[in-house]
Order: sequence, then C-alpha cells, then structure tokens
Amino acid sequence: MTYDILPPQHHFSRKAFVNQPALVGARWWQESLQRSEEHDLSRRQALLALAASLGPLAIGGFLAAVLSEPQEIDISMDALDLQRREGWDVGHVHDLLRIDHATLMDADGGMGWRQGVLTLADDLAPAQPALAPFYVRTLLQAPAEPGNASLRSTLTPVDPAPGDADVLRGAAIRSLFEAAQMPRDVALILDLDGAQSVAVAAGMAPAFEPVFVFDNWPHPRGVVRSQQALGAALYYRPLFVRLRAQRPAGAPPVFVLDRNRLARYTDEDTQFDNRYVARLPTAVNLEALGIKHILYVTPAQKDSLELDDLNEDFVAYQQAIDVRTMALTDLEHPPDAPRTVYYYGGQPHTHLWFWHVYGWHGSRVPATGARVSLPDHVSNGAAYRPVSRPTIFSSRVVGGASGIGRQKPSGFGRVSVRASKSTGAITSVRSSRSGSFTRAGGGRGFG
Amino acid sequence: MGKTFFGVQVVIKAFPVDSARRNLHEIIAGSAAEQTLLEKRAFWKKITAVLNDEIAMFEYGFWDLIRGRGAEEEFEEWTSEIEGALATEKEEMGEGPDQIRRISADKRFAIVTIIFLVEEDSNADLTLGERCEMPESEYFTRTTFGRLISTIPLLNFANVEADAVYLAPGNADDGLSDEDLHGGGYEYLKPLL
Repeated sequence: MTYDILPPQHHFSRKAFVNQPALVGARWWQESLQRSEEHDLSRRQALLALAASLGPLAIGGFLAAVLSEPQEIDISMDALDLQRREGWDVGHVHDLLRIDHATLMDADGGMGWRQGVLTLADDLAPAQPALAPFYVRTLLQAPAEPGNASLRSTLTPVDPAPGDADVLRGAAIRSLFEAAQMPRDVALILDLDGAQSVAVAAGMAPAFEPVFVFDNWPHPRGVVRSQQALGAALYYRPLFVRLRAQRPAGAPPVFVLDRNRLARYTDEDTQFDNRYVARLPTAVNLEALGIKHILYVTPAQKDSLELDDLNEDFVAYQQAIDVRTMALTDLEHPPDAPRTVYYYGGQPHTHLWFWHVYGWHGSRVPATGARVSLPDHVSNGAAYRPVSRPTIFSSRVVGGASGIGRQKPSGFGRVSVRASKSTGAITSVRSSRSGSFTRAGGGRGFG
Repeated sequence: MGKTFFGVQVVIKAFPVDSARRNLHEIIAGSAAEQTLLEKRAFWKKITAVLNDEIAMFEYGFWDLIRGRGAEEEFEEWTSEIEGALATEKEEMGEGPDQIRRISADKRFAIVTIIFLVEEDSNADLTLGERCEMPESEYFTRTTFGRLISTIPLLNFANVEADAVYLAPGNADDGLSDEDLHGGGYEYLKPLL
C-alpha cells in the first residue's frame, strides 16, 4: 500500500465568518473538491461583492479573515460602476470606439454638436415634470462627465438611415395620432436599435414627448454599442431642442429604448459587458399619468414579443392598461411612390385603419367606408397580449434563476477586475469573465 | 464537473424569550474553522435539530434548486449579497438597537439562510433532487420546508463543495418586523401554509 491510493482527505475550511449584531454566519469550502485555478478564481468572485459593498471602512477584520495571502483580489463589479470610477474606456484606453455612419454635421447641417455634447442630457430631458422621473440620462450624460474627455473627443453624430426612413416612420406614427386628435391616454414604447429608436422619436417629437431610457456607457469593447444611440441623439439634438419648446403641453410620452441592451454576450475577450435592463414606469406610475393604452413598437413582424426584461412589467401593466405591439415595418411607403411618406399598411387608404384594427379611439377617426384588407407584411400586433414567461430577469421563479433582492440576473452587466488588496486600486480588467486579465493602463491610476 | 445549488431561506417568528435563536447563534458562532466530514455532519445535525423544533414558527420562506449552469454563480450571489448586506446594516445601525433604521419597531422575525453547492449527479445531488421533487402546490408549505431542512444531514458531505449558514439579525435583541419583510428586498419570500 502506498499513500497514493489512500482516499482523499475531506475537510472543509471556513472562508468567511461573521458574528455581528446584524448577522451571524459562516461559509466553508471543501478543499479536496477545488480542482482548478478557475475554481479558485470563481470562489474568489464570491468575495467580490463583499469587498465592493463592505467599502474601505468595513473591509478590515472580516475581509482579512476571508481573504488570504495574495496581494491582489479579483472582484466582479457592475460595469457602469467600474466605468464611473475608472473612465468610460476602462481597461482599453488605447482601443478605438467604432462609430458606424459617423458624420461631422448634425441635423441642422452644423457643428453645434461639439458644444452640444456637454449639454445633451439636459437638452433631451422631458419638458413635462411629470415625465422627468422616468428619464434615464445615463448614456446622454456620459460625454459631459469630467473623466470622459476622451469620449467627447471621439464622439461624432451618427447619420440617419438612407432617406430618413426612420424619421419618416416616426412621422407616420405621429400622423396616425394627429388624425385621432392626439389621444393622451396612449403611450408609446420604441424598442428598436438605439440609433433607429432615436430617429423614430425625432419623427414623432413634434407631438410626442420623448423620454429616453438609455442606461449604460459606451466602451470600446462594449457588447452594447451604445455609441450609435448617443451619436444619433447628437445628430438630432437641434431638432429635439427646437421641438421641446414648441410641443403642446401634455403631449403623450414616447419611451425610447435601445433593444441592444440585451445584446448577445458570449463571454469573449473582445466584449465588455455593458448590458443593462430597461427601467420603465410601473403600472401605477402610468395610471397616474392617465395612460390606458401602450403601443410597443418592435423592429419587424418577427419580433412579436416584448424583450425578456420587459415581460414582468408588461404582464403587470395589463391589469389596468391595454398593451399592444406594432412592427415598425407595418409602416411602409406605397410601392412605386417616392419614399417620402409612410403609411400604416403601406397605403393612404390603409393608414387610419390602424385605429379600427387596434380598437382604440376609432370614433375619433373619419370613417373609411368599406373594410380594408391589410397586406400580409403587417404584423398582428393588435392581437398581442403579454403572457408571463420565465426569463433570466424573472424574479424568484422556483427552479429558475434567483437571488437575494437583486434586480439583474447573475453576471449580467458585470466585469471582472483585479484590485490591490492594500490600496484598493484596480490594477487590471478582464473584458470577459473567463478570459485573461488585461493590465490596465492609461492615466487614471492604474498600476 | 457541473454543480448543483440548493438554498433555503426561512423566516421564523422569534419571541423575545427564545432559545432557538440563541441556540442557532451559539452553534454558528462556535463552529470550527476546519471541519472533517463527521464534524460537518454533526454541525448540520445540530442546526437542523433546532430548526425542526421551530417548524410551527416558520412564517415565510423561499427555496431553490439549480442544476448545472448558473449553480455556482447562484451560490456566489447568495453569499455575496447576504454578506454584502452586512455592510449596509452596519451603516444603518446606530450604537443601540433603538437606532436601527427599520420601518417598524415590532421586531418579531429572524431569517435563517442555508445554502449548498454540491457536485452535479453526485449522491448528494440525487438526494436533493429526490427530496425537491414535489407538486407545485406543495412548494411553499411548512411541511415542505421541514422536509427540505431535514434532508441536509442525509447528504453525502463528500460531494458538498461549499456550504453556508446565516442567521439575521445576529443579535437576539433585534428582529425584523412584518413591514420589513414586505419591503426592502424581501418581496420574494412566500407565506408558508
């Protein structure tokens, strides 16, 4: 017999222990089941939030007991918190921010956007105080942050789609509502690619109050390329500013989302997880605003359901609020006609049929005579009803994802960083959760 | 190898003169930093014995079994959030119990959290899977929680990669109120029938 064939010794080592008025608890790991460095790293991630949330004052004894010898600790941080602390391009300060369809002119053909980057968040804020709480200015505020000078110098406006198709589709939505005397009990939610959402909102802005809900910062390796939405906002800024002053009081809201917020994250080294969840008003908030109907605008007919992070909200809405969808492609220009005017169903005579299809405020719309048949490409969004389904955002589903009072699912919108135990300074950043660490560089205190 | 996460959280109605909380506190606070398999089983037998006597006092609870992908993250998330909450509590608390920033002074409840990370498809995993198999209508009953807790000493601890237990508040003079449990992040807890 040799020692090699003896069964492994099982023992549990206590890795955390607390005995305080607020909590008594202990956590053990069985050393013999820790087989790889990856495990060890993962185990350390259990300490990350602890290190982050305890803060410097409380790190002392408890953390010292928890963390052992290494001079650095691996911490998983909320991506936006990390960017706010270390800069928008944390870990990749020498990487370029790729902006598609960049232009040097804004919608007015000028370069006022160069100053506009500093005032963008205020310029695009809702004019109505009642809507202000639902405005999420995180992205639009990013260029003005003192530590983001390099973002300001990188950013440019983003050109609209060819022929201003998205603005014209926004104008088509507006014309639908103007034909029904602008009912104020209908709110719209645009859930399109960020730049497209902004462009459609620009087309609606003469009669609707845009409420932007962009809750992240761009990053050179961001899985959400929010620089596109930001660039589009810069492009249309003069138009939004002008219309903000001219818009009728009490204009109905249009909530402007970027559906790339949940972009596919493959945990590759090339990606920085700057995803986020949409924060929309609650059903109670909407009722207080007098909203009785919601029209959720998706890109195309195939996008027949709300995105996962909205499912619970929409299911809650339908207790008192009628939620329907419409595909942006339901708005088309007539075949063989100039692409200057878009209609619901693609024809002037199908346009106002929208109100009859959706069953809202039909009596306010002029009679159209004979029943209209809609082309096949028009979505069946009027038949949509929100149905609860398990998603990674579901709160507390037995057998599914869960957590303790959290809002984001595990690992969502988080980035791994390595920090000095002694100073707390972040020394390196890992774009993905499984790849190697990139030594942080640049002039913001990285080692 | 994959992992399985198993977590139980139960809210116990704690009376001012309450030996159960004191016992739990003593068992956790007196736990050894290093435990063999036998010591581990003995530890959990003591914890579950106290809890089994309190089943009638279980008011709210939540449990979860997650196999495979996400299990390890789930374990980390529960532990980091519970331990992380300590910092918040410390910031909220003044020198004495009267200064605790809670919604109500009616401090009747304590929360016990038990979590495990075990090897997927191991004996411990199969035991958990078998005991968690039940009709949905039985998910949140006192009997179910008693059954789940009594499963713990049955586990083959050689397959247990990590475990943790927490009692909050850790001070027998303190407690959570009904109002606390209906807000402030505890909304996921289900009333136990």
